[in-house]
Amino acid sequence: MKGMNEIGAVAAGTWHRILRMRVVYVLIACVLILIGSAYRYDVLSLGQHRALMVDVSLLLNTLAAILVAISIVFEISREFREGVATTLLSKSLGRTQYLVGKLIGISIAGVVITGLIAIGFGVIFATAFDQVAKTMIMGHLLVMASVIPMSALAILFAIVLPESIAAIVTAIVIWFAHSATTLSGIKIIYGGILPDLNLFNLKAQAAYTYLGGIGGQYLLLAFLWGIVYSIFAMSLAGIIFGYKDLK
Amino acid sequence: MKKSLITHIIIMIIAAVLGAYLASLLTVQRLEIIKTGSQLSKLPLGGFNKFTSDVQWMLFINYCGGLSAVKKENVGEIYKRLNAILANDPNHEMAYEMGGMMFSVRDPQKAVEIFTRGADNPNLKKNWKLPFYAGFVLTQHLTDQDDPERLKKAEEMFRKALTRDNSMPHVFSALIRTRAKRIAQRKDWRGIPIVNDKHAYLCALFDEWRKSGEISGAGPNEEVFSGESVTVSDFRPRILEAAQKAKASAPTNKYILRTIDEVVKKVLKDDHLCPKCLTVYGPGDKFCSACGTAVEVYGTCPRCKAVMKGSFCSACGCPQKGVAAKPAVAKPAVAKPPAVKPAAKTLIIKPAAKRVNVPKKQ
Repeated sequence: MKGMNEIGAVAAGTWHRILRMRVVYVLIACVLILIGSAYRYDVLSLGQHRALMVDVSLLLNTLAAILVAISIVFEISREFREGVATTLLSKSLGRTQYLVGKLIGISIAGVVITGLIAIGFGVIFATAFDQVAKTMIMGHLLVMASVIPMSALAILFAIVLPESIAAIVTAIVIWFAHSATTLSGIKIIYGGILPDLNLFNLKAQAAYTYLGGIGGQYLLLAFLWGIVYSIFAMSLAGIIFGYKDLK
Repeated sequence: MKKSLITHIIIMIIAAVLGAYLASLLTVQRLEIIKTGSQLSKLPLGGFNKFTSDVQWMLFINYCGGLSAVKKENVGEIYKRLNAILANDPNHEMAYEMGGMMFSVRDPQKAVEIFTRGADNPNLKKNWKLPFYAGFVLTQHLTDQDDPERLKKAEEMFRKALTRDNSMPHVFSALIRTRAKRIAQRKDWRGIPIVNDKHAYLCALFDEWRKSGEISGAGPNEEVFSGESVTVSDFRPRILEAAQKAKASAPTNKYILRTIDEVVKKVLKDDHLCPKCLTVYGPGDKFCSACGTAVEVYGTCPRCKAVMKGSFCSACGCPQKGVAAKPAVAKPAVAKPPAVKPAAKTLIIKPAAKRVNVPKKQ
């Protein structure tokens, strides 16, 4: 129970720090302006601006989720550099607890930011067109759920690699985890050891509402996979972090 | 420390196995949802294939805006751009429609290929336009329009369009015309030699009528329409018109008459048709209003020959055939009916010129 409190304290510190930054809200406002601007592409897209708006919202929301995940690399590196992590770990806080706290904190921050973008999109879409379809909501919920495994990957690389390299590697891994659909046929390795973030990608379904729905069961399973994969990544990070010397 | 390491490893292994299991479940479900996963581009676009396709689409529109016409020189470039759009978004309906239309004159083969791809996309199974356009280009724009394989493909496409939306009469007409062309090419329809195009058209319509389920079971060796049957509301008037035209094209040809006989027996059995021109006539009519041929009279009172309006004759009170007869309480209003042959007798065809002998009604 005590351990849980400590994890909670680390998590609260992380998400408070991120959500207190004004730049986050400026960026959210910019994202929403960009989503709204898709409405003006009705002529250039030959009337496809409706699908375009949904697609732009999902693209920008995914980019926001990736940026939030990468931000934890800098956060952890800064704490190592400034000795905050050493101070925290010299107390009763375990190394794994520290990592789990960071993951929960950044996940909450990511879900809040992507959630705000999703809500903003809903308002813009409902104003510009009509009611937001269920598939669009599901598409955004999947993006929000993808924050968890992406953050876990970022934490893993932040422990293993130096700050700037870790950020680049995280971005590359996230990019390829969204792209390598051909690898998804490889059992155990893909989805078990290597991340398959394409599972959170049903953007076309959200854009074309007539294509068929994304069921609640799929969303739940994807969310569960995100948590299970995060446990895997955190365990690996915990093992490596256990052998890491902190100054 | 050692215990902690073992715990971490065990958790890691369990999570990896469970994660792999969940991922395999999700992959199957995802493929079921997206349906066109195999058609998607393998380029590492970070999952932003749809957005890439949107950008490519807008660039394509810009590019097309700069063209004066689709020519031999730019066909390749247009096709390349369209393929790139469709590889990133196989559900882009407008790209199929617009792209196919662009090629329909300059390169009909490519137009058919694009329309067919769209028509075969399981996510676009409600779109009737794509298969219709494919069939249309196959039958209208290609130089070897009469190639049997091409006609077969066109027929499949028209049928697909009709099963998606059966409220389109022009799609149905296109389907029947294509089917008729195929029958005319084969020169044989269920053992009856095909005389002309009108005969083939009648056979095609009759086949379709059979297929629509009003008659159960065509013979095992009879080639009828492949695929699902369609429902078209004005089937009978169409068949009647086709039969009339076929007869007019060769009034004495025994093969056409045989076909018409079969069609009338099965499809138009409830209609009263002029034996010469196949025009429908009404109760009490003695001559065809279209050609003047004497026709078999029906729907008249067996006693006074007035036209029956209900169960009993309104002129003499005589019950209609099948209604239990009641004793007549009054004398018939009409003394003697005109000399027209009773309906029960067999059909007598009289030449139109003899009409002058019929007594006029007062």
